[in-house]
Amino acid sequence: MTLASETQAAAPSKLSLRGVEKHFRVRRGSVQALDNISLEIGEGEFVCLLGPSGCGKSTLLNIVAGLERADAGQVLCDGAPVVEPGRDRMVMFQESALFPWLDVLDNVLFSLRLKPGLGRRERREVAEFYLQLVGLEKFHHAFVHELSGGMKQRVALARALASNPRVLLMDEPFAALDALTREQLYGDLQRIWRERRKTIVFVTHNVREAVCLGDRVVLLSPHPGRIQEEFQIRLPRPREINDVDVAHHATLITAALRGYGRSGPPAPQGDGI
Amino acid sequence: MKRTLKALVFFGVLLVAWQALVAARIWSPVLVPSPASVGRYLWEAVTDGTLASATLVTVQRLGLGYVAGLLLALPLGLLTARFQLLADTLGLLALGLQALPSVCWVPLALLWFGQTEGAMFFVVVMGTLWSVIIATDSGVRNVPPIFARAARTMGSRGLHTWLRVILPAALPYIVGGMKQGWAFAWRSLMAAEIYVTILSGFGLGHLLHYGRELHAMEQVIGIMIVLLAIGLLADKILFSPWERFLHRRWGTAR
Repeated sequence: MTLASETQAAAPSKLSLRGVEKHFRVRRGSVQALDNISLEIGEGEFVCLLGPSGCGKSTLLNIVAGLERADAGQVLCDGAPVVEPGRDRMVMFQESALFPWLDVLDNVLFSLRLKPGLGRRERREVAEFYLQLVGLEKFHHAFVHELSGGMKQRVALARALASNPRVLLMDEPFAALDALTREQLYGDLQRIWRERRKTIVFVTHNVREAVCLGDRVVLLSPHPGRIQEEFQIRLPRPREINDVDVAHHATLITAALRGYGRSGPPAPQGDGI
Repeated sequence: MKRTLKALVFFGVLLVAWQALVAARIWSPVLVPSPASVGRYLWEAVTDGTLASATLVTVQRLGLGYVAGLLLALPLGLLTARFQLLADTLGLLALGLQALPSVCWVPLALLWFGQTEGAMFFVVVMGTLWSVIIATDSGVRNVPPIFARAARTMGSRGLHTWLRVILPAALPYIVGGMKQGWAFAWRSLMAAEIYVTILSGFGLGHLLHYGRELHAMEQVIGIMIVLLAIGLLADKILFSPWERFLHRRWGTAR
């Protein structure tokens, strides 16, 4: 393997969720977290799972990642059932989950060292390539605590991208950042997504964020988590979080989120809003 | 450099105060020897080789027992953290024995091993073992689960996760436990050496003991100064680098 083959974007995957259910045992009985979730996600599609806290969106993401098992139904990644975490589906968490005992470069190398068939030199070159992609080429030997929140998430993104996954699963990765840093990262993520052609599933409770990033926004309702509605977002990219169009779409989705759920969605919504 | 200077000044002042007390003749010089007589004793002990050989014997016993204790305690601590059954059994035992003053192992060691190096080894191991088990166990339990999850998504499994993620993540706790284990081991060894004559080697504790027997106060105090120096040195050589590493990486330095 060479730098060229390693940094050439892998073909994005197709994900199918079929009747996924999940229950959690609590002190008295069990609570249904996810109810019959079926969803098709196309190759290279950017899908945002949107919903209030407690709607099971993180659980759903963990099931796609293979970190948790569904009680019923299954997740197929390019037709193969997901049973455990795999390098083809990398996860970014809300907290960066970077390892404080390693410097920035070694954090990125951590995933590469687990990938068979790479020599020392190649690993290093690949890591440097991705650190450059996220704009941190000057911070190879910084320690995690020396980085700002935004930089930490950039390193986490580089680490996730480094093993060249087909799918990127992102669990509210920008929720803990300030607005200014978030805006930069929206731009960077869209650029990287366009350049690297990943299938991205992005969990958020921020409506504007979902509209700004997603090709499609899947609205989940809580207790139990169900797919309430889907919105295609056909706005030109790159999008800005403060675009009027983004705001407009966000308003519509917020209305749906607020309460149409119980009586069913009003007629004009759905595709192409 | 400035800090070293301050420390030197501090110890200098202590020395002067000591000399002043001796000069005031409040206590008999048999009980409170002058710094000069202690210095003379130490010089003699250095030149005739007794100090070097006793230090070597003691440090060897300590080092051997401590390293063995660590090698035993680290995997045991990982196991108690991993398996609830072991935590409820061995973990409980460790918790109880950790609080046991380690000198309490000396009578048992004597009966089991006699006046041998084996008894010394046993006492030092017991001093080290329990607190390092407890520290490793609680260190592992305090590792944020997100680290292991993140590692799993990157393809880390089983032993790799334990060695490359859990263990380093628990390092701040483990180093704390190693330090405590060291202190316990050191104390129990001194107690054992003062308490028991071991024919195969004459350690610092024995020198201290015979100082008392011979009413040689300058020997007692001289050896205590050596013990203090060893304690300080061990901290600076063994633990300071680790602590500096942790502070730098975790960003906990003040």
